Amino acid sequence: MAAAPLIEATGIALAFDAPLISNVNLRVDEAARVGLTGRSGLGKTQLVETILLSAVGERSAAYRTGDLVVADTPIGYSPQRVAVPKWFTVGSFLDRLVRRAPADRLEDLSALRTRFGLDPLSNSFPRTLSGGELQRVSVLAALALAGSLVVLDEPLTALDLATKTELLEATREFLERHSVALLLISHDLDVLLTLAQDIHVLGKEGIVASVSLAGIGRMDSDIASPIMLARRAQLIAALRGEAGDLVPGPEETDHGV
Amino acid sequence: MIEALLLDSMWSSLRWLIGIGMGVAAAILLYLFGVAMRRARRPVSIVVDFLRAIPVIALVQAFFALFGTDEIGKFLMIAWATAFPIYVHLLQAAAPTHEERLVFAAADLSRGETLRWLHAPLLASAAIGGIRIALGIGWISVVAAEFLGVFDSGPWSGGLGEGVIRLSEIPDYPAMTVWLAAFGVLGLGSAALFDWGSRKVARRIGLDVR
Repeated sequence: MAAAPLIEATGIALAFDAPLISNVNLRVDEAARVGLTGRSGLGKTQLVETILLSAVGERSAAYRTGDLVVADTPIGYSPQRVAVPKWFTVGSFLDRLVRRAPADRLEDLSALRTRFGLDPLSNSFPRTLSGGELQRVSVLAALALAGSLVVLDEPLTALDLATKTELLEATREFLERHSVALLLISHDLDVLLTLAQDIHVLGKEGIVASVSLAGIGRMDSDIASPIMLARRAQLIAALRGEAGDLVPGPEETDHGV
Repeated sequence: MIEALLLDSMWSSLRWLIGIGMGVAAAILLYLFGVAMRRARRPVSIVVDFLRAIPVIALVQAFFALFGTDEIGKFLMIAWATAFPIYVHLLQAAAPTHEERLVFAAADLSRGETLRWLHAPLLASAAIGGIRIALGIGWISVVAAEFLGVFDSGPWSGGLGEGVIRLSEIPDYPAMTVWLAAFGVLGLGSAALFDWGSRKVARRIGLDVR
C-alpha cells in the first residue's frame, strides 16, 4: 500500500476580503520535492502558512474552503520574512536546534553548516548579519528542525548565483540522503530548478501548469544544461500565461537518464 | 557631612532598589496576565496608557492619603513610576513575530522548548531593556517619594531627596549642591553599571538585549 502523502490539499480556496486563490490541488509525498511558483501577491505564502497552521491545529487568517490533510511530522520552515530569533548568537541558536535532529543527520548538518559558511558567524547576533547570511541560517535551522518535511519560502535568493547554486545543491543532497520531502515556494527559477523535482505554476484558479524534472540524469541536472534551459523556458512561458499543461511527455524525460 | 551624605545615599538606593524590584514584578505580572487572558490585553493597555501619563509627583498627596508616611508608600511610588515603562517595553519587545511563532510551532517543539527558546529569552531581553529605561525614571521618582515623611525621625528617615528638602529649609545651598550632585552621579553611575553588567551577562548567555 502506498504511503499517505505528507500534504494533500484538495480544492483549496483562500480569501481575505476578496478571493485569493481557488481550486488548488497539491500533493507532497514522502521524499518528494515539490516547487510552487506564480505571480507575486497571488497567495503562495498564504497557502503555505495555511498548510503549516493546519498542521499545528490552528486556523489561518485567511478564510479557507476545501480539504487539507497534513501528516503529523515536525516541519522545518524557513519563512520568506526570515524569522531567526534575534536574542541568540547564530552558534547557540543552531546548536540548540541541531541537538534535536535525528542522530543520523548530525554529521551531515555539521558539514552543511560549514558549507553554508556559518562557522565563522557562530558568535554573531542576527542583527549583525547580511540578508544572505540570515537566509542561510534560516534554511539550515529549517533542515535541522525537519522531520519528514521541510518548507522553504524564497530560500537563499539574496545570494550570488555561484554561492546560491552550490548551497542549493548541498541542500538537495541533504534532502535526498535523508529522504526529507520539500515544499518550495520561489520566484527564482534557479532555485526551483535546482531543488524541486516537480514544479507547479499557481494561478488564481489553481495550478495552471506543471513541469517535472523527474528522470533527468545528474549530468543534465546543471541549471545551464540544454534540458534544464528547456524546462526554464517552459516555466517562463507558463508564468507569462502562454502555456497550458506543460507536463513533459516520456520522450522528454528520457534525456540524460 | 560625608557620613550624612553616605547614609542618605544608602537610604535612597535601598528605596530605589526595593521600589524597582516591585515595579519589575508588577510589570511582568501585568504582561503575563495579558498573555494568559488575551481578551484582557486591550482593556489593560487602555488603563495603563491612561495611568502612565500621570506624573509621579502629582501622586504624592494621594499616596500620603493612602499610606501616610510609611515606607510602603515610598516603595509603591517608585514601583508605580517604573512598572509602566517596563510593561510597555515588554508589550513591544516580548511578543514573538507571527513567523517566529510558526517556525517553532511547525517544528512541533514541546511547550518547555518553546518557553525556553522563544518566550523566555524574549521576555528576559525585553525586561532587561525595560529595566534600563526604568532605572532612570525610578531614580528620579525617589525624590518625589521622599517628599513623604521628610521630617519623620523613624528608622527609615533619611535619603538624598529628604536631605535636599531638609537642607533647603536651613537653607544650606552649598550642601544642597553636593547632595544634588551625589544624586546625579549615583543615578548615572548605577544606570551605566547596569547597562555594562547586563550586556556582559547577556552576551555570555547568548541573549541579544534590545
